[in-house]
Amino acid sequence: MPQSQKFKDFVSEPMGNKTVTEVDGIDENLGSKLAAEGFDKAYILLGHFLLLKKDALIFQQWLKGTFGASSRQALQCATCLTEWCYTIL
Amino acid sequence: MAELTDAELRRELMALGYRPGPITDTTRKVYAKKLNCLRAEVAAAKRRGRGAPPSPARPPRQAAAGLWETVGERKGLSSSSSWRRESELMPSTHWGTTAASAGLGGFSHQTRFGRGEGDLTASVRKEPERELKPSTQGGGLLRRFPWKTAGDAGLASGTRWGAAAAGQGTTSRTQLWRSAPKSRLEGKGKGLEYYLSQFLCLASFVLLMIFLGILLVKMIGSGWLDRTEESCTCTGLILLLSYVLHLSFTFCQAQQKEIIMNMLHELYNYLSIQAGNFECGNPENLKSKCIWVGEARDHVMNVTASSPQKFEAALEWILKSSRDLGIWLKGRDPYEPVTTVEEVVCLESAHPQMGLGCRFRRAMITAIMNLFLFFWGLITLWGILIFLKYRWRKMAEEEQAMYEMVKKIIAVVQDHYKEWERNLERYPYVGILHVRDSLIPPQSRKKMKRIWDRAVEFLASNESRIQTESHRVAGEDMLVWRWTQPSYLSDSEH
Repeated sequence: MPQSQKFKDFVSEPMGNKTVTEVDGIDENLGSKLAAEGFDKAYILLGHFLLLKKDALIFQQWLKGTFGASSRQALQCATCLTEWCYTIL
Repeated sequence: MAELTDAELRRELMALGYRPGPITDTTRKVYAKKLNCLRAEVAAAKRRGRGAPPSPARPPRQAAAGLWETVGERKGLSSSSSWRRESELMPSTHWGTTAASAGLGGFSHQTRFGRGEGDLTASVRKEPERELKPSTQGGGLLRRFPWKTAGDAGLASGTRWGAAAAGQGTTSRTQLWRSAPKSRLEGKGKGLEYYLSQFLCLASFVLLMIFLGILLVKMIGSGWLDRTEESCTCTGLILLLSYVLHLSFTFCQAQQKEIIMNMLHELYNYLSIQAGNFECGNPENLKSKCIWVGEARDHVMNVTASSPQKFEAALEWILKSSRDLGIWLKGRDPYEPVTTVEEVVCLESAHPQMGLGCRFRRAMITAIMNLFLFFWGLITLWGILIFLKYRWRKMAEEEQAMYEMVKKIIAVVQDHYKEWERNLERYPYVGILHVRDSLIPPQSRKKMKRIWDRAVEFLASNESRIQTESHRVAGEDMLVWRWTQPSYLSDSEH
């Protein structure tokens, strides 16, 4: 699967203080839902991903169940974070 | 405190000016403790003085019964009051209608990830639908509640039914009440930038206005001036004409006067139009503003159908008149005043008549030229300043390098002298060129020549311990330096 530019941009460098919407698969709508629950920065989302032991499947279910993300969005986000961890962590 | 749901905990923290992260099983206790701390701070601040707010971001909130009410009164914001109303009433409706199912939903919400089962997500998805319904119903109910009772209900729901039902409205409510503090914080953070941009905007606007003002004054001012001058001259012309003609020509006065007046008026118009054309693009390719007498005569005779003698008489009258009539008579030499009609070669208007567009263009060009000159001057000054600075820096560097060189030379000469004292060198002096060659590498000798020369000069005039002598070394005359200070004195330095 060819990855989007957003994916590449995010995975290419440490996430620093990036907002949650800069994670691949998270649009403005989903981003605002996440921010409302305190997930306003990408590192907080990563923190949750790490708390779930980097389990992409459970993370996807969590995204879909709690924030109404689509399967595609959840997959993109989980892939993005997994890849980021693999590259940089 | 333990009874608060995640959403309520978050709301309370935000109300006290703190922005919590996600509230999960692992972070809940920490945030609850933080909330207690913040409340204690607020209470302490209140005891110290009611006027002073505890945190700059938020006004203090009462922890007890008047909690909702107070903020509503102080802020008076429609957005904040709307979420408050909704949140207060929702739990009661939940309680009335779907308390049991909401409780289940709340349970599943918390436990489902640990297990990771897909079938639970279905029940979770229904949550938003449930949330929407009560909130709309609540809106209707609310208007019947007076503020006080609403506040009480809100508090009761927060403590009693909190865990079971109230937390389900999280997403819809949080969106509502988040909007207000968020925008406020951003506005605060960007204050300086905002003011700066405003100032720049204003400044550029003022500059534009000044530019337009200059343009306008230039354009309308000149036009107005022209027009008044024109009318003045015209009336002056007419008055003078009538006066002079009245004196000199006693016979057929009226006719003569009229003819010459007409002629002069026509001549004036013709000349001013021609001059205006010449100024504005010169469509007829005139060589100068000055119109040849012949051309003017032909034109005037064509228009007024009068004889050349009349034209001559009119010119004569212009010459005799001492006032500025708006027509200049010019001879072969444009700088010499003309005295007789025969000498007149060409006629020129003093007040060229230009169209609006042309006037605008000329005004524009003048304004731009002035601005350009100003900027040019500024740039020149700037350039001179930069050049001078560069020059001064260069000079300072050169001086520094010179002093470095002097130090090195002194060290070399002194070392040489010491070595001679220890019988390591043959002569007590050392050749100047040898010192140079040992201090400066060959590739930079040319570049350093100036510095070297200055250093030598400096040593000759300002250094008493080194003496310059001429010696014959290896059959060749050369200038040498000799260290004159005894070594026991110079040793004390080290």
